[in-house]
Formats: sequence, C-alpha cells, structure tokens
Amino acid sequence: MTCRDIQPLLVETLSGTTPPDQRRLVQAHLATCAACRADAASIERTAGLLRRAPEAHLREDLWAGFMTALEARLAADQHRPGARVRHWLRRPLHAWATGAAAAALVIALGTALGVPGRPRAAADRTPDDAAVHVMKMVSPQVVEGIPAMDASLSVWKAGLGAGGVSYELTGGR
Amino acid sequence: MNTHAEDLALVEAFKRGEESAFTAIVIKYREAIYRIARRLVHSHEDASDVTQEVLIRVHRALPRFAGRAQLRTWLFRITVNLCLDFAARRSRDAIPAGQSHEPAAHPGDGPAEWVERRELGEAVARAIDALPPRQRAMVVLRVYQDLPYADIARIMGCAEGTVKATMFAAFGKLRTALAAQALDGGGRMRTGGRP
Repeated sequence: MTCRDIQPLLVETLSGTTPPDQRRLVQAHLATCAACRADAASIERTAGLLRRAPEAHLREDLWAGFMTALEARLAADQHRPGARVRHWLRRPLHAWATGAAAAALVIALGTALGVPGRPRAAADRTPDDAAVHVMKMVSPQVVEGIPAMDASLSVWKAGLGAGGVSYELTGGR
Repeated sequence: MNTHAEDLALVEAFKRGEESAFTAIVIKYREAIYRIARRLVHSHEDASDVTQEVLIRVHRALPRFAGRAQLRTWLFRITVNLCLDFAARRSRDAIPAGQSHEPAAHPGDGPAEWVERRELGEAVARAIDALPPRQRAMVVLRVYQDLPYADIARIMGCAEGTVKATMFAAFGKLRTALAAQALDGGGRMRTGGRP
C-alpha cells in the first residue's frame, strides 16, 4: 500500500476500535515509512487529547426530572389533534386498508362525475349503469378486488369510530 | 442475547403494545443520545431538549421500525439530524464560558488538576465547534461513541469512503486548532493558560 492509501486509514486506526486486519496493514506500512510514522504520531496525539477531554458532568437528579418531563410530553403528544388517527394509520394493515379505501373512493368519484361521450344525461343514470361503465374502465384484477375494498372501507370507517359500521374483520376490538 | 437481538425484542414488545418496552429503550440509550447532543449543541438545557425530542420522535416512529438497521444506528441518526437542524437555527458564534464542559470531580483531583481538566475540555470543545457541522458529528460519533466507520456512514447517510476522507480532513483541522490553543501532548496549556 502507498502512503496515499494509508493516510485515511491512520485516523480510523488511531481514533478508536478498528478491525485487526486493518490495524496490521497500517502497522506494516508504518514499520517501513518514517513520514507516515510522523503523521501517525501527530494523529495519535490529537486523538489522545480529544479522548482525555472530560465528558460533561451529569447532575445526579438529571434522569428523574428528565423522565417526568418526557412522560408529560409523550402524554401531550398522544392527545394532540389527529394523533389517534395517525397512530392508527401507522399500522401496516390499517395503512393497506386505507389505501384500498382511497382507491375505492377514487373509483366512486370517477363514476359520480361521469366521463365524456356518455349517451344519456346524469339524471337518467341508474346505479347499474354506473357499475357497468366502471367495469369497462378497470382491469379484471381490480374487479376481483372490489369486495376486499368494500371490506377495507368498513375497517377504515370502524377505526375512525364511525357509528353503525360493522367491524367484523378485526373481531370488534 | 446480543444488543441487536435485545433491541429487536424490545421493539417487537412495543409493537405488541407493551409501553414498558419503550421505557427500557429510553433507559438504555438516553445517556448516549444526551452525550452526543451535548457535544453538538453545547448547553445542558438544549441537549436535554434535543434528547426528549429524539425520544418523542422515536415513540411516534417505532411502530414502523422494520429492524433492517440497528436500533442504535437509527436512534443516533435521528439525534444527529436533530442536532444539525438545531445548530443551523442557532447563532453559534462562541461557547458561553463556564457552560460548555464542566467536568465531573475525580477522586484525588486537587483544584489545579480540576482547572486543568476544565481547560482541556473547553479547548477541545472549541476545536470541535470550529469544524463544519457534519465533520463535527462524525468526530463525536467516532471519538466519543467509538462507532465503526460503517455505522457512521449509515448514520450520516453517506459512503464509508466519504467518512474516511472527512475524518482525515477533520483531524487535520483539530490538530491545527489544538496547537493554536497551545496544548501540549498531555493536554496542559503550555503558555498563558493560567496566571
């Protein structure tokens, strides 16, 4: 190895824990290179000063007061607006359900707003017409997933505390 | 059980709803987080605030922690990011005297030794403080937490080679700064430190 290769390794080797093979590599180079030995001595002196600098004194009562303040802040954090909803949404199953519900909502909105070129006026449309129209627009995989989206919407509503919604998928917890 | 496995067990327990697992994580890591913050933001009050903010963010995000990184690395990454944000918002012209590094009394230390240790602490704090923020964070993680370069790279979100090059540059600056403050190899002021 050249001096150029060794120099970045010197700080790593002399400033803390290093893999033994790397330490041996550096030691082998230092045994034959006076310039790098001088650099190493200088780096070692600097690292020594940094390590000898005392850590700040921690007051004996620091952690008791800290834990009390932390508990108060955590309690306040859990009561901030929307915290329960965000907490609920962070669960992976809930996030998936919310995503599916959002997809169902987009499809429903698409149906409600209609698409260009429709032969009849909105007032003449029936729910079945809308469903047939949506079926033409989506792939068979999405059609198969519609019952699961309905179930997800139910889970999502129940998680938000909506009244009168069955919550059978989660066992009513 | 090694530390990583123990940490994963605590995270899983927290995900199952055991709040006491979070308390165990806090007790295990609060001092390391505080000490990193203290080196990066200086005052006890600011370091304590940053430590609390780190732990509140961890409490919010822990349900999504997938365990791909070590918990310690993840905690330190949040800590460093918060400290860098905090430092960027603060005016950082100088460390207020007497506030930076009041050392703990060592048994057997006389007044002269105590003053000497305090001077060394303040000189080193000034030298570290003069580094650019990311260099400062890397030096603190390496020298005071003894983290391997691979972990520092993960915490700082950069390549290991970048850490190597940055640390080499940082040590060059520290060497110059400490020499300018006239510290000898034993950490004593060579001239003018005391009347």
